Amino acid sequence: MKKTLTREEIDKLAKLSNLTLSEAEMTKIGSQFEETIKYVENLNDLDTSQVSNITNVTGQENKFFEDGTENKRLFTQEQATANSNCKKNGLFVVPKVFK
Amino acid sequence: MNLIGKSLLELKGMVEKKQISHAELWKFFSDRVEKYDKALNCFVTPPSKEGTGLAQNGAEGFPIAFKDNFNTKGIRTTASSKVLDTYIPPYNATVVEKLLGMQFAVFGKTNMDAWAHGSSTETSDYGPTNNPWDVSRAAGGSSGGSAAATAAYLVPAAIGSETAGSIRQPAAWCGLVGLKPTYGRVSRYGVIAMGSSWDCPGPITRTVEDAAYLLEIIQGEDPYDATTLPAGNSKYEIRKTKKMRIGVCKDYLENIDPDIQKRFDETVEILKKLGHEIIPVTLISPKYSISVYTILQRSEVSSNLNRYDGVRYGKDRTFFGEEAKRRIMLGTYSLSHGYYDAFYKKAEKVRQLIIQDFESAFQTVDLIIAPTTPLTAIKKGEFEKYPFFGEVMDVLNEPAAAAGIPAINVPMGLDSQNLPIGLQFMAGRLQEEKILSIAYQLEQETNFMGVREALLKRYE
Repeated sequence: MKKTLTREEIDKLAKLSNLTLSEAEMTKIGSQFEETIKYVENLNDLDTSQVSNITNVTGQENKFFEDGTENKRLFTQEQATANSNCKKNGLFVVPKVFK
Repeated sequence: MNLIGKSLLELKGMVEKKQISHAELWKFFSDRVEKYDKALNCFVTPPSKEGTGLAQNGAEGFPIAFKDNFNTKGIRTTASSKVLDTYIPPYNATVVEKLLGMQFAVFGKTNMDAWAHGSSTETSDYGPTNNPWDVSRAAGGSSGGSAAATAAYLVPAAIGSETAGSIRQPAAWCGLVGLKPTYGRVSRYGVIAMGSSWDCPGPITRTVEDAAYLLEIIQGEDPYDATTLPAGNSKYEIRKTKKMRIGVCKDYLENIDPDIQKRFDETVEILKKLGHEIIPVTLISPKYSISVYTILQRSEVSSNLNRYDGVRYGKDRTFFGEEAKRRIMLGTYSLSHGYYDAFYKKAEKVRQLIIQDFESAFQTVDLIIAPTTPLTAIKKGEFEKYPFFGEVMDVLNEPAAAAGIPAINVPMGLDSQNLPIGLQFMAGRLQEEKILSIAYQLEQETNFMGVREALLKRYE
C-alpha cells in the first residue's frame, strides 16, 4: 500500500473535505498521514476472509415510524433558523450552485 | 453542614428529607466553581449564578453537569469548538431531557477536546482542563471537564460521552467511576456526533451506586435514535454478590507502568480473596483496535463534520482547529475511491473479528479486568512525545468501544507520584449489571483506597 501522498493528492483531499489549509498544515498533515498509514497497515496481519463487514455492532435492523407520528420535537421555522448567520426572510441563504 | 464529598445519592436523600434545598445545593456548588475553576478550567459555560437551573416542570433542579457536546435548550453548546461559539440549541438531547424529567437541572457545560477529538482536553478551543491532582497535568479526555469537575467536587456528578475511552480514561486520570454503557443502551439523540457507530453517553461519578442510578435514568429505547436498544433493567441489582469468573488477558498488560501493574496484581488478589475465580483468556491484541478505531472513527468524523458549513448554524469551516482538520482529511482519504476497500472495509471486518473474539471469551468468563490506561496522567503538552501522537493512551479502551460492549473504570488508589490509577471491567453486551456489581463490591471492600477523599483534602 502506498504510504505517502503527493501535494496534488493532499490538495484534492482538502477540496473534497471542503477545507482550506495553510502551507504549514499541508506539510504537517502529509507527514502525519505517513505515520498513520504505516500504523494501520497492521490490520493486514489478520485474516478477514471469513467475516463480513458490519456497520452496526449490536446487530440491529432498520427501524421505522410513520411520517407525522413523531412530531413532538418539531421545530418552528423561526427555531430552525435561529442560529444561522446566513438567512433572509426566514430562509437559509446557501452558496451559489450554478454560476 | 458539611457536604464535601457526599455522593449524588446521599445529596438526593438529604433533599428528600428536606435537610437541604436544591437552591442551597446550587449555591454550595457554584461557590466552589467560583473558588476553584480558575485553576482547573472545567467549564466552557459555567453554571448560572442567578438562581438555579430549572427541571422540566419549571421547579428548581438538582445540579448535574453536562459535557459541552450535549444539546441543552437555550444554553450555549460548543463541543469546545469556536465553530459553535455562539450556538444556542433549540432542543435538548434525550439524555438531558430524561434527567430534567427527574428533577435535575443543567449545572454548566463542561470542557472537552474540541469535537471530542482527543484524550487530554488539550485540543479544546477554550483552553485545556487541568488535572485537579496536579494542574500541570492533563485531566484526560475527551470528557476531561466532566471528570475534573466531579473529582474536585465542583458538581456532584457529570454526564460525559465516550467514543473510545472518553469516559473511562479521564475518570481513571482524575480518580473516579466512569461508565461506558453498551452501544445503543443510551440515546445519542442531541449529542454532537463524532463517531456515530461508536458514541455512547454515560455517567462520571464518585460512587458506583451513583453511576447505576444515572444509567437507570438515561438509558432506554428512543424513537429519535434508531440504534437504541430495548430498555434494560429498570433497576440494577448491584448489591448482590455472585461469584464471578474474571478473565485476565496478558496482551492488555504490555507496556504498562510498573505502579499500575503492581496495583493490578494486588486487585486481582483482592478479587480472589472475595471468592471470584481468575481465568487467563486470550484476546486479539488491543493494538489492532487502534487501527480499526483510527480508520472508522476518522471516516465517520469526516462525514459528521460535513454539516458544519456555516449555513444553518455556527461559523464556517475556517474555524476548525488542527485536530479536526487532520481527522476530516484522513477520513475523506479512507472513504475515497480506490482506498475504501483497503481501509474502511478492512477495518469493518476486523471490527467484526473483535466482536466475535469478545463473544467467545464471554462464553468462559463473566468479566474481563484490565488497566484502563497504560500510564497515569501525563504532563500537558507531552502527548506528541508518545507514538502515534498519543493515540496509544486509549489503546486499552478501544477494544470494548469497537465491540460496543460495556466497561467501567474504577479508581484503585494512587501511584508513587500521587496520581490516581484506574482499572476497568468489561462485560458482554447489555451486561452492565455485572460490571456495576463487581465495581460496587470492590468499592465496599477497599473504599477505592481512599482516593476520592485524598483529593478533597486539597479542595476543601
